[in-house]
Amino acid sequence: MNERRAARAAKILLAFLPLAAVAGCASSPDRPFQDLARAEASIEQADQSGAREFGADELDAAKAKLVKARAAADSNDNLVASRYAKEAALDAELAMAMARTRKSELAVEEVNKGIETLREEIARNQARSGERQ
Amino acid sequence: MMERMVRGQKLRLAAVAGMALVAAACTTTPERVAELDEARATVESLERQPKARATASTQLANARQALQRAEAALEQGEPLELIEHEAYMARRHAEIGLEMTSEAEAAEALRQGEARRNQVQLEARTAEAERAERLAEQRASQAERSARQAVASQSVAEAAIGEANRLADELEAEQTNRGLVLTLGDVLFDTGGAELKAGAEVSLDRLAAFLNENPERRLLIEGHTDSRGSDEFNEGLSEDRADSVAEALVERGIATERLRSVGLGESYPVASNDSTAGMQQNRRVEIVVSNDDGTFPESAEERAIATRD
Repeated sequence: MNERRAARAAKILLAFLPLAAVAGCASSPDRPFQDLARAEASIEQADQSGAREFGADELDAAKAKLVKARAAADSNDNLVASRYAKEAALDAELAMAMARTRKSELAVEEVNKGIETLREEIARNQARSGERQ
Repeated sequence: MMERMVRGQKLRLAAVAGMALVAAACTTTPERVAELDEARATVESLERQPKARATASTQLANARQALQRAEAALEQGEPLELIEHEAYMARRHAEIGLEMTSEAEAAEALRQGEARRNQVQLEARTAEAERAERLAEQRASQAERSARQAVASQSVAEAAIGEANRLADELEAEQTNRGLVLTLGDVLFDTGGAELKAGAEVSLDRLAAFLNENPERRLLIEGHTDSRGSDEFNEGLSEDRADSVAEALVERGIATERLRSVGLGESYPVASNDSTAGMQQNRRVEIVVSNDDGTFPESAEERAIATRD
């Protein structure tokens, strides 16, 4: 990077500083690649682990925030982008956790139902062998 | 070059104006932030979970840190967006932590449920095995019972046979399909006559003694002849001989109604009439002993009735 281009870049940065500052009261960081990547990964994982069924609201919120995060990053509003991305990741993780909980609870119900069925069967068998005696 | 200078100055101006705006934004922070209140409550409820430290320690730590950042931002008069963001993050971390404790509880319940199901399955199998065993025992004891019954009925049959044999021995009688039959041979009668000879007395005494011991039993006395002479003569002779046996028994104290005498003539030979020996065998009196209830075997009855007509 030569001196002149550096100067120009500095000027542009200076020009956009107020905008970024309004959003975050801080200097503008780089595009939040890591935050965006984590949000994307979490959303995909949540999508695949039944969150669409058991944590639909949270998953939708995560997706909406990822869209906002990308848009903010595209307009170099990187602090805002980072916040949206971080929130999106947590929304997706919550959706996933809810799906896991609900699945476990369903499994518990299933097992309990199985036990109930077994007990009824045993009772029937005992009644039958009682009749036979 | 001049133009660029002008633009640069304009930009610098804008930047300065922006800075002023930033300062304004940062001082408008309210004292209470709803998002922060919510975050505090959620983090607290995670902290109250006894299992939180064991199952969601990372989430609890993250939630607390984010909450501290939010509180600090509020204290330092940072912009509302930052406070709200950190509060939101704190709440979400806490909510994830709560889900993880619920999930751990469900997983524990699942483990217990599976253990219980296995137990119940085991009980079911045990009950089924016991039922099968009980059934087998029932069948075995039934089989044993039938076997015992078979043995018992066999011994009853054997006893009956034993009794019959004993009677046969006692009376020097023979077991036939008509029942127990005692034969008084021709030699006990005068030739062509119905008078019993003295030799018959032993047999008659024995027969009378037997009837006295077995008051339910009756006698069917059949007279038989060989084929010589007319049918009328033979029938008459056979009847007379049967009657004299009956009379001899009445003389020995046997009631008349226990005795039935029939003359069967030459109809039932026991040997060929072609030889003197055969004819002598055919001249005889057969005494059929009734069952112990006073009835005669059917084959004996048929023969007595058929001849009467």
